[in-house]
Amino acid sequence: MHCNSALRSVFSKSPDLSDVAIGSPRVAKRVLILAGIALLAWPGVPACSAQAPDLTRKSLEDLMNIEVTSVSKKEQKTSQAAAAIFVISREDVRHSGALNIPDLLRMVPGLDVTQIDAGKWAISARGFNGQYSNKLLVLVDGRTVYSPIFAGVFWDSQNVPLESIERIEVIRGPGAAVWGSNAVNGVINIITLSAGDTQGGHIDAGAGNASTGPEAIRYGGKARNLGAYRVSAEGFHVDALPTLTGVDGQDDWRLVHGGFRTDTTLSARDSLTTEGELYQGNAGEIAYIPVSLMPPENANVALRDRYTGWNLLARWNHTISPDSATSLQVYFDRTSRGDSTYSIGLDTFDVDFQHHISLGARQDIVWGLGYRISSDDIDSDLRISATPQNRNTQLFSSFAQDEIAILPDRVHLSLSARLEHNDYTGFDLQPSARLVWTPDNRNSIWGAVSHADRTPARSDTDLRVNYLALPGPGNLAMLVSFFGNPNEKNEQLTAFETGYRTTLSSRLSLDSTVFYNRYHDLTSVEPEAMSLEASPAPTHLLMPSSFGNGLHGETHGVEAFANWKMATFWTLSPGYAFFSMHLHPFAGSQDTTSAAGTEGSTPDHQGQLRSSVSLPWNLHWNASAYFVNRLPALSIPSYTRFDTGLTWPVGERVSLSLVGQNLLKDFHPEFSGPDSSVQSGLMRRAAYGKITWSF
Amino acid sequence: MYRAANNSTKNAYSGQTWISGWIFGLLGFVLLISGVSQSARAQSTPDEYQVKAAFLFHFAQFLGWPADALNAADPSLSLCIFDDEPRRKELQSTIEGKPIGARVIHVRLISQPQEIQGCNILFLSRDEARRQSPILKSLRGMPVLTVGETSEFLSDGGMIRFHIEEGKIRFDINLAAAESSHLQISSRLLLLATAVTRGGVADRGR
Repeated sequence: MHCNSALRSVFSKSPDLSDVAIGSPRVAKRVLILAGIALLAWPGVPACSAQAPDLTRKSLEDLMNIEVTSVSKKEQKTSQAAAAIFVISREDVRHSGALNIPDLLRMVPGLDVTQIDAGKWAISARGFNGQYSNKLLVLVDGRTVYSPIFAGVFWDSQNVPLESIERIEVIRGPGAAVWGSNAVNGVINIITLSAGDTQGGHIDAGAGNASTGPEAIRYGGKARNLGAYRVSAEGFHVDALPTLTGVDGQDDWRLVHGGFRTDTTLSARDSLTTEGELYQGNAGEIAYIPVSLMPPENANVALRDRYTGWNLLARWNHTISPDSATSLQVYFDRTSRGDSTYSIGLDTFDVDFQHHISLGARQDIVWGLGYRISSDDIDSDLRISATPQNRNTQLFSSFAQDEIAILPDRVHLSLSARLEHNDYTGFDLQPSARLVWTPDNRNSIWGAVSHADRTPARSDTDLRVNYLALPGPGNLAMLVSFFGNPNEKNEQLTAFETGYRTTLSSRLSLDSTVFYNRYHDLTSVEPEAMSLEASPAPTHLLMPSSFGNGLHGETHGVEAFANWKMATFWTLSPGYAFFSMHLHPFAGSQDTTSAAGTEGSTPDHQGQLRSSVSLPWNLHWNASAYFVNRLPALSIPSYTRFDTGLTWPVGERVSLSLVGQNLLKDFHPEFSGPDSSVQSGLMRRAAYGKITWSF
Repeated sequence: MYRAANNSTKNAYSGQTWISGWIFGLLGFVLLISGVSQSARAQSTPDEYQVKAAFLFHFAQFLGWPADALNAADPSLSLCIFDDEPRRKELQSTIEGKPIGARVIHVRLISQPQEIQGCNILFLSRDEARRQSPILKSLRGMPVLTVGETSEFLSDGGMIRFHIEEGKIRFDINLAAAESSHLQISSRLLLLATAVTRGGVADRGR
């Protein structure tokens, strides 16, 4: 589409650079062969535009009738990025009819999105999926929502009102050199609309056979000294799902959420954004857990996770000159969460400074400094305990990225590195190098080598979980327990990626990525010597295991998707992802189960086909089919999920939408909980409707 | 509740070897790509920025600059874009050298905002959003037609903003900004605009 495309940084921070620990020759060769075959597969990519007719001879009226099949913002951006990026636009959000962010994320090819029960999801990219997917970093307007306690994201408490989302950028692959530790296999960056773009009132009311709500209200205005502002409130309730055994999972989920945002222009050079949210919710589960050291030791217990929190963020953007700008962001976040077996409080304070400078036409530099302090308090119970009970952890970080136009418009190199210091493992350097070549206006090829680390969390180092109690010999109870390892090391990744994007015509674009990842020091579970333990009473046999770094391995895969505008009113988007993982214990590790368990928790094949049709009277019809192959480690069979939605803007002010989910089957499982003690739910056929009124 | 590293391994992983995995994956991928690419090659619609360039040409035709804004010695009408503008080739190829009355359009590449001096038209694509606001402020009152794309363009003080509705190019006009710069916009252009802002109030046109 573009007869030249500039390769410049697309995200406010664009990815990354390298430690070139070249993989084995065999591997490099494999990647090369694959890339070669992929290239050959294209039957002659058309060269850039033949001379177009003289458009200036057309009248304005004629020009206004030309359909330009605008390359959306998404594609323009992605076509320039040296990373596997996919952007969910505001329009995608509106047409999807989704009720929550995880359901929206299903449309991202190569992302593994599965639902565990009514309020829990397992979301990951490129393997290692689980309820606490610890290698995927998630940010909301620059605020990290990755838990430093459990190393993962509590999706049930992340409620960004969907009407306020501007876009969601999803980067598959490492982003740690720019975004920081734990952006090992991907980054999800949720960006909300500026307050100026959400002026006026907006009311949503919805209901369905499996949920009530969301009932949401939003109002945006302009205040004399404040600039634009908006306030919003939202609440919903999702019904419980049945479990695999057919009983009520008692996993119903409810949430109320309030938020605000202001965007103020302080001067010609300065602008200030503030935002905050306040929420409270709860979600249930049934878990088979130890309740006593006397028989019967274990029971199915209905637990209810209650959580509440608030946060405040301020960001000051200052323009020094047209080629130089700074941004200073500060936030405070307080969350607490717990059920009858544990309770956790966490405060986080974070400061982040960034400076963006263009040096001539050839170099674009971003550098930054950051500091974060987290303070937690973990209350103990028979099931979960922490030593020490309170811990303050600090994170110091600095990063720099230089994007160099080696050949302007043709070859761009991006070098970046991040140096961090954390309290668990000390200094940590995460570099990345990315190169993108645009041989002509329709094609771009990129490659990247990156190093990224997953740093330990409290759950890796300080937590003890009593997993199961069993009747032992001589009337002694046996307690099976996991212990955190204070000496846990970083999990390390060296990633090799290459991608090819092409615009075959104004109606068809393709995007493909091949990756090969090498992991070191992956977390393992190492059995320890049995002992007698007096406390908690009565004296019992302890069968302990502790975390180690006993695994290493490789993953590789292919991700491809297309956007095909078949007609002016109809767009088809097929996508496919292949994934393979091989993990091995290091000599000395006695972990015999984690390798197979992790390998078998991510599907080897995923496919999707999404269709988007504009109908008369502004009706819009979306339909999506997702195929996910089986998860052998979790005994989850393969399934095809079909979701569809119809939206109808009745007039300027009122819009109706009808959505059906999981229409092909009454029930299907998508994932099992983080451990087999928690019962997962069966996804069921669901329908809901929503009415939106703007004023 | 707890992230146990060892997910229970109820059945052993019995999947394909990596070789068959690769072959399967590759095959599917190649089929998908080649199949799709065969079928939809022919259609070709004009590039968005070539059409936008033609719009710019017409804007220049329907605009009156104050007499002192045009250099009598120079027969060109200069359209300025930044030299790192990714769409400059589409813009150049469409309107460079096209005649407007007694003048011809010349696409001038600038690298610094200071070089805007002497431009008759300035086009800022959405890729220039970063420096848009200070540039527009510095141009306030100057006889330079400013055309842009971002949703803040008019509120930042720009004059004409492109947007796309159902794949077709539309534009809004900030009449107050044009008038304060002593630019005369033809009523024909005003009629075709989706919205015309007069002194901050938007009139819904059509």
